[in-house]
Amino acid sequence: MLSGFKDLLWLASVLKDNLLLLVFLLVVLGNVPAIRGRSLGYLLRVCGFMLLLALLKNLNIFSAMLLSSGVIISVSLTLYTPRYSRIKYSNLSLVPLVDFFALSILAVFISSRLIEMITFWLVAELLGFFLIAYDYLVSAERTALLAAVKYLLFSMIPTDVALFIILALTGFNEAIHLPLSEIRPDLTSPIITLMLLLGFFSKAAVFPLHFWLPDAHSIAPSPASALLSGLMVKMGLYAIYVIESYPLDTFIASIMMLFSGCLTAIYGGLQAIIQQDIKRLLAYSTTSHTAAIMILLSLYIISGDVLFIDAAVLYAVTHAFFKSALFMDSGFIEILTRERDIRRLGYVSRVAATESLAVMISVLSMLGMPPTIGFLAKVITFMSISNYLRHSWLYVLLLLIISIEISLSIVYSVRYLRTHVENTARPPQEGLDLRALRMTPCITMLSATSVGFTFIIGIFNQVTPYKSEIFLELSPVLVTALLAFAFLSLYIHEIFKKGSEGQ
Amino acid sequence: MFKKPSSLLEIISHHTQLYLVSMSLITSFSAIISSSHILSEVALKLMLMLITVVALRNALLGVNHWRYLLIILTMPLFTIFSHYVVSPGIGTTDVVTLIIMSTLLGLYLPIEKQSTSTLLYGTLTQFSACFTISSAKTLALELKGAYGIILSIIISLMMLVIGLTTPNVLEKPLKNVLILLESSIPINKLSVPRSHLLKLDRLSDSKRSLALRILTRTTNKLATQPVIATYRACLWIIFKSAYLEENIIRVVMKVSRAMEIAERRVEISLTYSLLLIGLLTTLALIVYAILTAITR
Amino acid sequence: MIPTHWVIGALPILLLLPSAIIPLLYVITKKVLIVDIAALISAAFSLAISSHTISLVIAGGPVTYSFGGFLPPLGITYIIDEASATLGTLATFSLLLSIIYGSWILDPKWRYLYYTATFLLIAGCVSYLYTADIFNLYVSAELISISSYALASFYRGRGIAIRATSIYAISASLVLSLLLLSAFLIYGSYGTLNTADLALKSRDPNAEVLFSGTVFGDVILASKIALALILWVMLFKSAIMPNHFWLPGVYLGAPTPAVALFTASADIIGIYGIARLFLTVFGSDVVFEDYQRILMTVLTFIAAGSSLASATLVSLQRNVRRIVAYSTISQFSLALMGVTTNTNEGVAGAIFHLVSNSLGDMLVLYSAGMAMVLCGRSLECLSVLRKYKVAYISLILGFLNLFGVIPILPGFWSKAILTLAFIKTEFPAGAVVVLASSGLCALGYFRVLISSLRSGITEKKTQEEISLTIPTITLILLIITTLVLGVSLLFFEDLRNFLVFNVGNSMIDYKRYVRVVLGV
Repeated sequence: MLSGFKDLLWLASVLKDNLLLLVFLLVVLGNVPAIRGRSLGYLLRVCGFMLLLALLKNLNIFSAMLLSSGVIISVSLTLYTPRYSRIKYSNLSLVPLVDFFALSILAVFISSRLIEMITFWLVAELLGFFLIAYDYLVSAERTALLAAVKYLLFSMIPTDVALFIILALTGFNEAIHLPLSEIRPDLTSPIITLMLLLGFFSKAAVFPLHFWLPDAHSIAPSPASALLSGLMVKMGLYAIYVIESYPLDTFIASIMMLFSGCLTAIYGGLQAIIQQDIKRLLAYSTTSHTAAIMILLSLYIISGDVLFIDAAVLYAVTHAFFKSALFMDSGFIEILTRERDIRRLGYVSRVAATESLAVMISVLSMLGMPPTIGFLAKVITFMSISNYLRHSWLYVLLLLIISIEISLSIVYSVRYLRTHVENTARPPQEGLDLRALRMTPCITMLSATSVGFTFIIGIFNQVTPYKSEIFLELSPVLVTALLAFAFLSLYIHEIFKKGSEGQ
Repeated sequence: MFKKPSSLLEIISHHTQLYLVSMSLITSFSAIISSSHILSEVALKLMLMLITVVALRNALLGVNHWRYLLIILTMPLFTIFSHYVVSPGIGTTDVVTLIIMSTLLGLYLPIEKQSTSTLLYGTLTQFSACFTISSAKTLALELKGAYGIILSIIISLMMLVIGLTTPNVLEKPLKNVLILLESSIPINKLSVPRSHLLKLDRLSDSKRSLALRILTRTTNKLATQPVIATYRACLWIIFKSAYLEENIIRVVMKVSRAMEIAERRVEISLTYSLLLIGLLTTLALIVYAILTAITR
Repeated sequence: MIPTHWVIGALPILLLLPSAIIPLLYVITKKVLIVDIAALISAAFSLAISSHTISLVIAGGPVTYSFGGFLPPLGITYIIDEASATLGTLATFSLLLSIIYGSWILDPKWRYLYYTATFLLIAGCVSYLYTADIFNLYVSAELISISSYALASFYRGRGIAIRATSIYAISASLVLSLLLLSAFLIYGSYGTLNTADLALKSRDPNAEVLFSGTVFGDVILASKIALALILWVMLFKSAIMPNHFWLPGVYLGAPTPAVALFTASADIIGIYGIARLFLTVFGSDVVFEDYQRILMTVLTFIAAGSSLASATLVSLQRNVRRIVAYSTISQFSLALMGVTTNTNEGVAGAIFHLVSNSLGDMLVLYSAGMAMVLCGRSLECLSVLRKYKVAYISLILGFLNLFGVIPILPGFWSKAILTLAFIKTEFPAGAVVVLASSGLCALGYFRVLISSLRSGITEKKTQEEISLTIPTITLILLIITTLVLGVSLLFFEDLRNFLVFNVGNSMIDYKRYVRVVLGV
């Protein structure tokens, strides 16, 4: 009886500690059908997501970064989805699905106890399933159902195996009461490590369970793809980061992660190059980038240098920003032109100058243009690997693979940019649906954040001493870069505008 | 009619390159003056970004397409070399690496001799790239202050000279190889502008002697056939695996349907076999009982 | 000391009496309402009694009742430990719900026959769960089977029902006679029919017990043959592949409340039988332990294969009943896998899995039954439930519970406990099988859910014609029970410990079993 009372007190403390309940209420209120499409609804939902930032101080660096980037992405998506949904489906029922999906993924990142993480993870997976199958729900598209089935069989099941095994090894009482940093599941058995990693590989979509991702992410509606590629694959990487702090069979773990990571990084890039559908291209590029992040995480296991974690987390944040922006742009293109084939596009910059600029900034962020966050990510990635170049041939090989991955990313980003800037392309006879231009502000906001985020990072106090030293040294460079970049982008925008008016 | 977009992109890329050139020069200088390895790493990244922007421009504008291919294919090697060069110590391998890198830089960042402004601009670009590498090398050699700057400038000038001269020799053969490479890839899978195919035809229609033509063709083939074969093999693997990935669901569904059919057959046969087992067992037990009763 | 409680003895009487009285009442009065009320009151009473037994068991350990005051092994004894108390409560709970729902959905003219059959079924079920006598086990099993033949062929005009019942009846009678045969073999060699006595003597053949003395003949050969026969019987009764062929037809043809009742009572007896007979009575430390281990290993593989195969079949089905049927087969196989691990967690997980599976099945079946009445039997008809929030929520909740991924639902906990068992016995492939089968079943569940989410079907009968209060009450009761169970497992450590250590232990700890029944 007494222990039952203790459990009730624990429940009360869970509710008090977490703003999550308040956030949930705000998002629910913002989604009430009467106000879903009006400014009040937008305001409530945006406030709800921003409120999650209050929880930043209790988190480790990985979850803090993912949470902040996730909040920004969710805010721009919650403004984007109603417009997308209204134009494409003539109703707003996509909005609550996307909002709750985003909320559950963010809740995974802020969970302090294993049982919370598992609960929100499983809820996110379920919502992801229904989002992928959304086109089947509304218009009986069989491809959507098949994509969702693939997702269920090859992503949900292996991840569930991994989560239940961790839960069993931790013990129910510890999973419910102790925070993640204090539990000690014994994962040293090679088979257990293998199964856990396979499960999280399937979530992060690296070899051998990567093939569900292109179908799932390209067939889901664009806001859902943005969340799936931008945030959900990071859950797998986050889980690997979490289990790295528990006793693990490091030999098997590092071999598996390195092998799968290297293979997928190159394979994903190659597949992305030959795609004709813009969303499939982006989906394959996601696998390539998560593989690169996984290589960095495995280097942390091998060397123990925490700079690799910083590199991995910055890379993850970069990828989250630019991938979500690009998926939102693919939704924009889909609505504007009713077309997804690269070969038949190319005139978008003439119609939507700001949009093309936003996409250009995102692509440059991925490639590493200062002062975007991609630049910081690339710098720290290369720095962390080159510190160890003399130690072993492995680092040289990995540097080579990451450079090949970057080369491939140049190729497919060129292909993607061809949808916006192509000399010989003409807009089609039937004309374009210009309602899509309403969505541009959201995408521009997201691209702009990828520039400003570099400076927001300085505010985090959970940064390792080594890294803040870097930041202090880099800050004059970054500030100069930011000013110059601001001027440059304004100038480019003027030029784009002149170009589109001149047509 | 078609000029305006291309000139837009040209202007944008021009300004972006200028931005990156100035940033890398500033950063390399600050790196030497403050002896910061971090800043030299940043400068290296800026230089790589510069090369990337050049590649992007060539790809999107459609001019000098081969340069874009060259950058894509050789950039990983270039990255490895640049990180190797900036490590401490100096030896013959460093010198060789520096020569190769200067040649590559010369090929990546061409200098257009149309007017003095473009000439200056091109030279500045190449110089900044060479200076980034040389300053990083100087830093690695632990030379600081004014001596460091002077040494960096000397090395970068040497690299610039190499970069200006050697590419002239290599440009034509490289162009041919890359164009052949590109044309061997199925056209509808990659977006290769048709203009390059025409260039290839023009190549074979050159008015040289038959022997020379055969010689150039054979050398081209020897150089490129293995590469083309590898390309084709890679493509085959990619397409095959994409096909498999898409069809795995169909395999699962087929297995389920086969199981359903098997199950229906089993239902009937099991019912009858149970009846048979029951009958036989009862008979056997009766016989056993009778036998034991008789023999008791 | 053998503690006795009269309520336990009263329970079978309380369940048998209505089956006699109700037809009489109907014949005399011709009023359905009286019959309904009588059935309801009896079911409520039996639920109260079986809940009371749980509290007795929690308070003071296993309770026994000797019929006629005859001491075991001379007379028939009931022993209720934590596991049988749980399953008994499940059976009576589903009886109550089935009667409430049946009073709405069934034709008033034949309703009294339905009540008769169900009370007989649960009487047999309770007796089977509680008994400590192998022959009584057989008799209860026969009673269960006969009642289920009656219930399965309730709609005697439907060809499907008659065909399914014929197959079921013939096969089940044959298979149950094997159970009788094994009872004979055991009696012939051990000289006793009391299970506690058997538990004692299978480990120590020289033990001497009052009234039954020592063993009579060659126990090893007889036990081996008997165990093999019992295995076959139990696999059939719980519809583990390949002995599952009767179940889909029966589930398709029987009335909805009957099917719901089956998933909670008649079909779980196989798993319970295997647990009791293979773990408690002929479990670890028996004289033929190597044989027992081989049987367990064989069982594990049969169960794993059955689970995966039936899960694959779930996704192909186009009918809610068939989905429930194959999903039930899959979940029962998973429970069997838990039992074969021979650990606390495995048995606890298995029993709780049976509980959560029946809760989930009941939620799905009752809401699908409402759709059937309002619209028709096809899958698209489920979309009419969108108007009735309670039914819709219960459909979704039922499928989520069966899938087992939300920690506030009991389905999650049963899977978690089963995974714990597999990890403990260093058999992680078992965890993979559990989750793979659930995932494959989920394909079928989600197909149903997606069909129900799409609109377009108009209902044939509206709410004004049919009153929907009764099924709604049933569903609300189910939803409350499921949520309360799931949430309490999440928040109350005591309940989890009770489940894992007490319920699981009740099957494994044969020494306590022997001590409580025989006092030895």
